[in-house]
Amino acid sequence: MRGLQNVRWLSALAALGLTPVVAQTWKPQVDVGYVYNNNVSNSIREEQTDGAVTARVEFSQVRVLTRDWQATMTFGADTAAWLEYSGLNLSHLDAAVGLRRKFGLGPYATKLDVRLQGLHQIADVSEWSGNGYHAEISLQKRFTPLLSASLTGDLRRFDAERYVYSGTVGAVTSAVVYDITADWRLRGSLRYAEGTQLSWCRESFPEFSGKGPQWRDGIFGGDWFPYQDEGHLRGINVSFGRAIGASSAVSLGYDASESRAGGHVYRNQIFSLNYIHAF
Amino acid sequence: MRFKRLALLALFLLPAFSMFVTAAEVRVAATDHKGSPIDELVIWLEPLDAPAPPPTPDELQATVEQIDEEFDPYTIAVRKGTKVEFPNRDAVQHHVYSLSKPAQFEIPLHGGDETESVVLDQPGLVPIGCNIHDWMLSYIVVVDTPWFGTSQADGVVSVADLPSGRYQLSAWHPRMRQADERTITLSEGELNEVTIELRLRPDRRIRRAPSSGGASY
Repeated sequence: MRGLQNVRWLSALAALGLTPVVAQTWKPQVDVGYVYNNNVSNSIREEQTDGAVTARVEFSQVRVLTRDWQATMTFGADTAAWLEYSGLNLSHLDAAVGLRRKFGLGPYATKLDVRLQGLHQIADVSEWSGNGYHAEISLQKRFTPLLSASLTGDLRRFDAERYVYSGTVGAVTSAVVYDITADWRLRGSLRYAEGTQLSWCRESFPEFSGKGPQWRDGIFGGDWFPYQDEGHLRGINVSFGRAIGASSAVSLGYDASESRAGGHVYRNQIFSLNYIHAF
Repeated sequence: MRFKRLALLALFLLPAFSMFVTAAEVRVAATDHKGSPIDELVIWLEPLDAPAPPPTPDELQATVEQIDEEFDPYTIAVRKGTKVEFPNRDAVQHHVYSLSKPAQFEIPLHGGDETESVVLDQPGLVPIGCNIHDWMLSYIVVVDTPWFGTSQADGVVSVADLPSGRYQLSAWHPRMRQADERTITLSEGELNEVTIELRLRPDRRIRRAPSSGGASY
């Protein structure tokens, strides 16, 4: 039922994007894809795998304030429909404001972006629904027409209806983008994060079954329960993208991460395929 | 008396007539080293035996549009002293600039249907960018001759009404490090065909297409 509500929200938003009035002043962008996660339960053993179809639509508007300052407003909605574990289905409605400072003239001037996003999460498991924010500061530098790099620091906070799904994560990401040809783009990034991590475990795993009161959300079966821990994560991401004209691109991504929390190591690999179109 | 009038008329018409008779046309066909025609190649001809005639007011007007968040045309040749207009056909603002040696200027933040202009009075290459949309790029080649043109998709560019004589033919494209130069001699009343084969570097422009995880701005 909630999934149907999400679809209605997204349909309404997409329909809004097709109206010419909105299109004149706002730049819509859609991103549809498929993601495969080899440890969707974020477990240290009996890892569960699943794939999801994802979609995001956003409308952004850039306001040029002066030569060096730009403001951005973005409204977006996204959803993920997992093929096996529908309890993982999450949808978001978000709004963001951003401010860009460009230190000089031309494409090689350093850019500093600050962005604050508020979001509302709608989950199939209603206790996972809630509100959050995402603050981000990013320094970007282009070295040649083909090569650019960025350093990003961000902080995410989410408060769910049930505490176990809530958490705070701070991360630093360094990324390099290289355009191999006029169409093909290679992007690589390294990420370090600290904060809360959410995992699932079976009741039969004695090391975790004693961790506080257990609430079973039923996402992975009757005897699985969610728990959270504090830890740190190191991750690497590589993606290949191919431009399709000036407004579209497809990208294939690989993300590997290893997190350590409470003396345990969690490993995760994600493959993704996306199609992006900017109107 | 009648003969005298006719003689006088002939005297006036002779220079115009002789100009018509002696005018030459040059047709340049440019290909790259793979034999593909070169689009947007700028060529210009500088006379070696006489100074170039002074410009007429009509020659000193040119336009580089900002449309669909691109400059149009991508390459253009203009005569020294030309007033180049930059009309913004987009709903979004642009900020046109050049950091080149012949012309350093900024046209700050202009919105839809606004037209700003710059007079380019030094010969040379003037790359144009937009400070908001980094992928926007155009090249203006400022030359001190009335004879210039830009090739079409078939790689051909024609320049007409040249007096016969020797010229330096220069060709430049954004994918060339420096202009190709050669001396040619144009014959009276003839179509002079010149074939140029040029080695172009790969097209290395800033990509405009969006990437996953963010808008293309």
